Amino acid sequence: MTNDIFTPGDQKPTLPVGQIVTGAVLVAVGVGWLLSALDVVTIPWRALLAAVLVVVGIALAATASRGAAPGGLIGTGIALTVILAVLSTVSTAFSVPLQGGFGDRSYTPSAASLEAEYHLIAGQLELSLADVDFPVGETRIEAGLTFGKLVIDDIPDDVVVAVEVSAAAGQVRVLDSLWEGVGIDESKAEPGFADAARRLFLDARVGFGQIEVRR
Amino acid sequence: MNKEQRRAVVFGVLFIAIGVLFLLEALGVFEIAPATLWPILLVALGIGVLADSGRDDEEGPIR
Repeated sequence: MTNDIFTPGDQKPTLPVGQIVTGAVLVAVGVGWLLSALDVVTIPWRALLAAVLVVVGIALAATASRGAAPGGLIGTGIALTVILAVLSTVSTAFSVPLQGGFGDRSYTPSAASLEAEYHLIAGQLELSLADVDFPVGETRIEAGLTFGKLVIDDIPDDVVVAVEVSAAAGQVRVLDSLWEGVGIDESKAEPGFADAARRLFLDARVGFGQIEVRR
Repeated sequence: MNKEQRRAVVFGVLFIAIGVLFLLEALGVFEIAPATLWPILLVALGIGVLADSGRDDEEGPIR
């Protein structure tokens, strides 16, 4: 009837490696996703998923040597490969770093807690600069979002702004300028930026979505 | 080696190779251009399908 070696009569008393690895992968990704959503940790998703793919490959080879059933490992590996390929393509083609987590994040930093980079993979990322006492000279902030809306607002009036913005597809509104469509890659500087005492340079990128920069 | 085992070995090796490739890219060792990535994956898929198309060693002779 079948030439499958994994019939009940032939079953060897081996560990179900495939099921164990598939279950462990689901648990690990789920826990990572949860911790990331709760903002407990920042998960390097691409590196993590790539490492999981290597583990799946090793487990597959192990199942073959032990005569155990793959238990969905091939499907898991193919799914991981497709996800990683899409993430790599989006990141490379649209110059969007795939960092950060998922969900809505809102930051209101002070001068001391202001970070140089803010990233989110999907969701809404809002950065309010109302409480930042900008030092004399140039302050650079990089913000990246793969899918969703990026808002940078409450920029103090005594700070002169220059921006570089890009979006693979979507809408970009910077102060009084608006760009829409695909392949947006623009830069803009307020008058007097080069000579201003306090300067803010924003590098804002989204893959698919919106960017809004306002005072 | 039967067909099931051969399939597991081939896909296992492919997943390890692809995983290492993506891991190095994620760590910033190099960048894979989409124009290079997708053909590589197509070749890998083809290797997997070819490996899956062979006869099972435990089958009897072709009649």
